[in-house]
Amino acid sequence: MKKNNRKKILSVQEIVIIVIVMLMITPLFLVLLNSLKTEGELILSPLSLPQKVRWENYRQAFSNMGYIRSFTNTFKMTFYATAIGVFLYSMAAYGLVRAKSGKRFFSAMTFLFFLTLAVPPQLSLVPLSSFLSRIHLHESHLGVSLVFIGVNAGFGVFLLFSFISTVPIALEEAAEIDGCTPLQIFWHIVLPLMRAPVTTLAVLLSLRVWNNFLYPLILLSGKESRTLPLSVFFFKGADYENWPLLFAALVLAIFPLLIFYFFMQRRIISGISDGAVKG
Amino acid sequence: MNNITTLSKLTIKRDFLPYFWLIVPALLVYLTFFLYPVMSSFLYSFTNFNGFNLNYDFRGLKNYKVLFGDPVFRQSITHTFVFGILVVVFQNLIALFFAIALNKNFVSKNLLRTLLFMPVMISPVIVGYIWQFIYSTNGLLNYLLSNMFNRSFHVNYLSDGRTALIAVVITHVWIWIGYSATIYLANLQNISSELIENADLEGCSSWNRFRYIIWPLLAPATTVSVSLSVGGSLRVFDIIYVMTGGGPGYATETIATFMVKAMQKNYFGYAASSAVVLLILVLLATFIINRYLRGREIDL
Amino acid sequence: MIKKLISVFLVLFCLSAFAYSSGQKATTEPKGPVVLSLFSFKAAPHEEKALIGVINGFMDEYPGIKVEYEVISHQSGYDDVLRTRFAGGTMSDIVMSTPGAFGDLWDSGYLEPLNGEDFLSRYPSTTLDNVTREGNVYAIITETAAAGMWYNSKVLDELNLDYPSSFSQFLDVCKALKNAGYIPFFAGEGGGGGAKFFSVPWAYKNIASSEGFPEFAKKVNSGETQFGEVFREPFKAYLTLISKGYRYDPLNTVNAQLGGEGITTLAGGNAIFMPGGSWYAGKFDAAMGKENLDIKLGPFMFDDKNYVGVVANGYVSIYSGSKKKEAAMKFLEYWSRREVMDAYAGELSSFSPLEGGAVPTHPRLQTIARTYKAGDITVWQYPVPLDIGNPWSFLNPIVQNMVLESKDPTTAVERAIKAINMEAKKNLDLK
Repeated sequence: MKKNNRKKILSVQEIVIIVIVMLMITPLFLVLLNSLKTEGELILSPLSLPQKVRWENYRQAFSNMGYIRSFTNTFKMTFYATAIGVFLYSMAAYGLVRAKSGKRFFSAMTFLFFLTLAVPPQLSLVPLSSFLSRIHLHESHLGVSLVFIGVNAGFGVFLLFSFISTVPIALEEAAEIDGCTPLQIFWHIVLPLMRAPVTTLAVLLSLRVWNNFLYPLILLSGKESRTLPLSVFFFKGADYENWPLLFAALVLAIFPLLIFYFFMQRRIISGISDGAVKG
Repeated sequence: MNNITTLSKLTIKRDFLPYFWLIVPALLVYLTFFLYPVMSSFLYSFTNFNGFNLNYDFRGLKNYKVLFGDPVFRQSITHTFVFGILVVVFQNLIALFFAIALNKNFVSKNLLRTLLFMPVMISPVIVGYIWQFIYSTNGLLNYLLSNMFNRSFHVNYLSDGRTALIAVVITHVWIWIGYSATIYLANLQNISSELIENADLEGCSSWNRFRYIIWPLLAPATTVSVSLSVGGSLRVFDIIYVMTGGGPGYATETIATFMVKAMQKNYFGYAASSAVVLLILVLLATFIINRYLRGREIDL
Repeated sequence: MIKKLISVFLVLFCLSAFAYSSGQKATTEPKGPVVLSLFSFKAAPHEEKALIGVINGFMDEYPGIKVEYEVISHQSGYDDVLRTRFAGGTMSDIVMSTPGAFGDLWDSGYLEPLNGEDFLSRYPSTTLDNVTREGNVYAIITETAAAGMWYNSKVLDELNLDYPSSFSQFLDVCKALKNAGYIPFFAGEGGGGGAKFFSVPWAYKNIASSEGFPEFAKKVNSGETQFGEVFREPFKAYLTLISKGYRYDPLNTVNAQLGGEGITTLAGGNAIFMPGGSWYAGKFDAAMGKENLDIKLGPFMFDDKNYVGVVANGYVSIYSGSKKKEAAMKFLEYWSRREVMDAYAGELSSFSPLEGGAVPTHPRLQTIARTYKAGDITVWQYPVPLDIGNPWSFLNPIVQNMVLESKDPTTAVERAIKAINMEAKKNLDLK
């Protein structure tokens, strides 16, 4: 393997893939391109290069968004919802797959989790908001984080559910004979073997939380508590929108996520070769 | 007698409870912060709730009666399924292609993966806006087609009832390819490379290697990705709402856009009843597909 | 590795829970001045600036009251927040509502009646009709916009054409423009909808001039009159424009927005007329490119006369659940003062809704400012609720289909009318 790594060159295959991916993300270049134009320029010639690069858009977006504050808010919520979420979901998924008796009960629970994938989220907003204000959790980031953990539960459990069945049961049985409890088995054996799926889940979850604006919009109020996507959202009005500014704000909003994703995926890849027992 | 009860108590204690406790924390948060609000809003489907006034009247099944008599709703069911089938097939096929391609030892694989994943990070409002540029009369697509075929193209693909649905399908698939590809990749990473190398040594052709080794081992990811795309596409709202608003006419109206529009007109109870229908349809669809996919996993 | 990570997460979680609880304590401590909260949908930079102007002036005059505002102008976002805040009992003391939401807010008892307040006498009664229910006034109106036809006056001047003052004259002007090689008319049916903009004021003008709106609404609500009938005349006129080839590429603009592609088309010199509102003035300023065009807003030309559509907008009410109604009332009084209102409406390029209020100074709006008078056709909201639903929110797909089928105008109009009647019946069933 190491030998191969050293003399990496671009193969024909790779070049073809690079071209295809580049073509696929042309629309994203349009975002970048148009974030550097003036408003009038964008309206009249959306597909051309900017006549003069306007970094001013970024500066203005940065200050209008209250970037540092919004970033901190978003980061906090994403962090809690993802970290706790991954932990809870993987535990639940393990319990659901490996339970030995009460099969009927556990498949009913699986179905319950499954419901999230079928419900349009817009509908739950009114009761959710009044419920949160009754238990005094509205207008707090904690409340929103909890809502996210609840909303994503079905997705998280479901994602890991399938992967847990690929973990060879022989290992677990051996551990069980040694007197380990299910929690210990999950902790010491299953979790380390599930590194790629769990990291993937973390990435996908943080994406869902980071980008969501529906829940922060209705559950938080005031400029102080705004999240990044929420502050992007506020750039767009029903009858008024400054698209270049909006695009600049968008680039700023997803930039941290991009960095995160880039590094996490190195972890997805490197996590495999070391430590894992091959089936 | 006594002996039996202690035995079953022991089973419960050993085989049931430890697993039960594992799912309790997730279940608790899920029930409180998701299922409870959703279920209580389903109750509105039996009322004339307008979204504001909490002094609503119960009206039994009236909303459902009106719903099934509404030709727009019947159309939106058809569109939802056409949209769903196209999205599920193309999203998964293309994602699988990219996952396999990017699982190779490419120099640029990290960068390519990140790029491929980027569309899903962008809010649907923006994606919709960019694709409106692309599909518009003087847009990118017409420009490319004109250059390719050497004659001029002047179609607004979103304004034509025949192309609008396909156009939004393409955009939706474009967004979610990277997402599905990531799920397939996670699975590919869990497949032992020895298995593949062995196959190589035994002189398998690459198609056979895919067909008989990789594809069956990708069953878990296929289940996840297909089910997620079924749910995601049948509930599609944002992207359609932004790009066509359900139009032209009702050509891209889906159940979810129908529902949100009803909410905006302050027919909340009516919206809730269409959401219940959507829930049942999605459950049925995912149930059938899952039975098939899980059965496939067990077969292997 | 993962174990370590998780334990770090858990520790951080506990710490943050502490941070939350201590943070929340700090914010609940009582503050000195009365804090009034205001929720609005006016979010464009110039609109927000105008709002801040009102708020700052008010706080200067009443130092004991602090006003905090929040704006969301995204249609679906505004709706969602409005609904959830009322449901959760966390609505602001002062609410600016859209004409579409106003009726339901009133119906739900969320709005405080303003009767007996002196400042209401500053408004003409026709304006207050918009926000009067069962004899009580429930909001002040903070701006009046105008709706009409945007047009390229330079081209009309060059061709020696007068601004048309009737629909038949409009057809003549279009013919002359077409002969001179111009595309006379632009309208897209996405979002705001050109056919809607053109037809609704015309239809309502007919209602107002025949039996009057209250009488009409009663008949429609009881199912005695078919609502769709009133659109026959304007729909026919609209399809005439298409069938004579005066309209810009109708089949390609079905999803185009007046405020987007429409403005680009006119600003690029590619069409001469377009229905629209005075709130596009600033957008035209931004979109004007190299071409030296002069784009202005003129009145509608329905059958034999010119009409200005009047859009009473920005209904500001007091939430009936507010605990600071007295302070809120002071705020409404302050906003209704001549100089405050004129400045606010002026900033928005709108007409001041007060009796004898200021007209906008924006150069593109001078034609319409001369024609405008209180009591022109109101295009959004009426003192009697229509139980058949709000045509502005259900007409879109119907007129889109009509334009798509415009090859056969007679059938297209009939189908559209039938579709409106069906929608009206459905909405009556749902009430």
